[in-house]
Amino acid sequence: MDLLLQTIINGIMLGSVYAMVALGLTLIFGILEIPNFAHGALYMLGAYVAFFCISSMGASYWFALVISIGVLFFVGMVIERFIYRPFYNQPHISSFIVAVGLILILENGALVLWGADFRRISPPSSSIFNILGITVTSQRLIVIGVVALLIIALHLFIKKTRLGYAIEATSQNRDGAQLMGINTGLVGQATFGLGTALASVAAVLVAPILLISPVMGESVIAMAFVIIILGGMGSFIGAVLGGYIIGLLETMISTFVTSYYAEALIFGVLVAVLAVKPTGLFGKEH
Amino acid sequence: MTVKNENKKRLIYGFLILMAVSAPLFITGDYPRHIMVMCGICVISSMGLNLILGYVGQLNLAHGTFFGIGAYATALLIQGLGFSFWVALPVGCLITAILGFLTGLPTLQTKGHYFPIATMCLGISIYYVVARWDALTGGASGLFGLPRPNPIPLPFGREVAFESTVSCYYLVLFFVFLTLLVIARFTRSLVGKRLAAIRGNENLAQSVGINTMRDKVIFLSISTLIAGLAGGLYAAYMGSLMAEQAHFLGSFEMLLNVMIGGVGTLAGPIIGGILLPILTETLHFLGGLRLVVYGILLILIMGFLPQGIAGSLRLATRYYEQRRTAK
Repeated sequence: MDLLLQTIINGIMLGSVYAMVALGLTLIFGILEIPNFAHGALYMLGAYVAFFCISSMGASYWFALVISIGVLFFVGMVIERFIYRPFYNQPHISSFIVAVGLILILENGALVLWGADFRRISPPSSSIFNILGITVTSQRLIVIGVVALLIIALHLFIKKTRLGYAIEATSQNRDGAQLMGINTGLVGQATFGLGTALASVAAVLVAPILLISPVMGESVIAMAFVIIILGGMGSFIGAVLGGYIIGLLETMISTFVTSYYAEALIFGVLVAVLAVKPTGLFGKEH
Repeated sequence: MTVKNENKKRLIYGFLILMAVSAPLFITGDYPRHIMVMCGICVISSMGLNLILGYVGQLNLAHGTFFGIGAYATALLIQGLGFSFWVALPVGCLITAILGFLTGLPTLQTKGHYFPIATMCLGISIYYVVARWDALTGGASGLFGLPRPNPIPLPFGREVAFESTVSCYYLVLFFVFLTLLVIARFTRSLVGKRLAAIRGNENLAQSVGINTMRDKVIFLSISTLIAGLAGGLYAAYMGSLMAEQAHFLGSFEMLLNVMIGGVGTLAGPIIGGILLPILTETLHFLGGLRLVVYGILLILIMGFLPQGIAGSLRLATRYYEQRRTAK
């Protein structure tokens, strides 16, 4: 029973990370219609920016988190404007290949700057709580709590603010939004920045629990793609629910079935879904 | 006019083949020859990637993973089951092609974004399986002590051995020519022409009765078979394998080969496959930054030279011919 409860807590924690990463990915896809293969590499960059602030500048954890969000927001905007945008009018495959170039730059850049070794960010607080007979570190509660708050805030942002309206309108109908006077170029740029910033939040929050390394984004991005395909590419609620479900599923499988091949099993689910329904579970027909 | 051009073409091809065959006469020294073998392997796997990227128009981000599967399959058949290299290589290729076929069935019926996404996820998860399945693949530490290909016996008690680098070069060169012949034949066949129609307008192709799905799966299977062939040759030549060989980043360098050389052309992957390993050697002083440079290069090529070297040359000659006939 304790093991089950512990597993559920861990699953929700992992699910929170996945939900954040998948949300960023799905927002970007909704607006720009590009699967951002470099999203995992940007997630990794977010963790290293925080690591750099803490280890080289002596910043506090929370300050480093804010810096990382700011830096990644800016990096995302720059990437959208100068790397992806020139390829919008070309075949899809061009932007896929450009994304591959980005991954090469980001992952190997991190490798050169910080080496291949695993790095650790110390948590802001190391207290441990006893809840219902199981022990939970404060960092896990921070991850779960902050992500839940952010999801609510993001939902309100999209539903209640002018920029949020613009994002939703653009994702529903780009040309229509443009005719209504929305600067879709700027909206795309801001959304890309926002999506990347979300990835960095997830990375910095989870960094004290999982170690950071230049390849830390790879398994996360694969999972995030599985999630948004299952949840429907571009769907907000699909990314959030899918994130928690896949996080729980992965933790359950690796605790109770096999700890080695959980990722491969979940990928098998994706292939099975694609075989039955090529546009994803809740995806629109193109 | 056209006859003259045909003759000119034949002359150029003949010269290039002669160059490739006689290269070990000019290039001595073990290390440069080693690079030549690596170029050959690179050319083979890039030709495979070009088949799916250039002719079907789908980006297979797991191509490097299929290279790894071919390498591991061949190595394990030799080491685990005691197969001869000459049996293990085709069986290894076949295993890779079957996996490629199985991958293609669900993923190729999707359109647009799903194929690269699915193959990226596949590549990442297979890498984890290879890196963790200690009992089969040796896990992260890899496989060691693979023998070179068995000698081919000749009459009068002589044999062709594959101990020296030069002999391996000729072995790889043989497979380069074989692959080239198969691809040239294949892309000019009816299937190739049907695929050109699919790339032009898939709905239209479907409406005139082309089974687009079947053609795409055939191309993917052959493309992965070629990746497996390159992997098997790599395993036997190097004698050891690391889990990194199945990493999906391996696809990226092959992608760069194809893009530099010219996607969708016969010559493209050959040009790229020879240029990139040489570039890699000259950029050794950069250390890890080399791959950062490759990333920048890839983006720049997409932006300014999307046809690659071969495609641009073709455009230039066509322009030149048109100018001449206009006069």
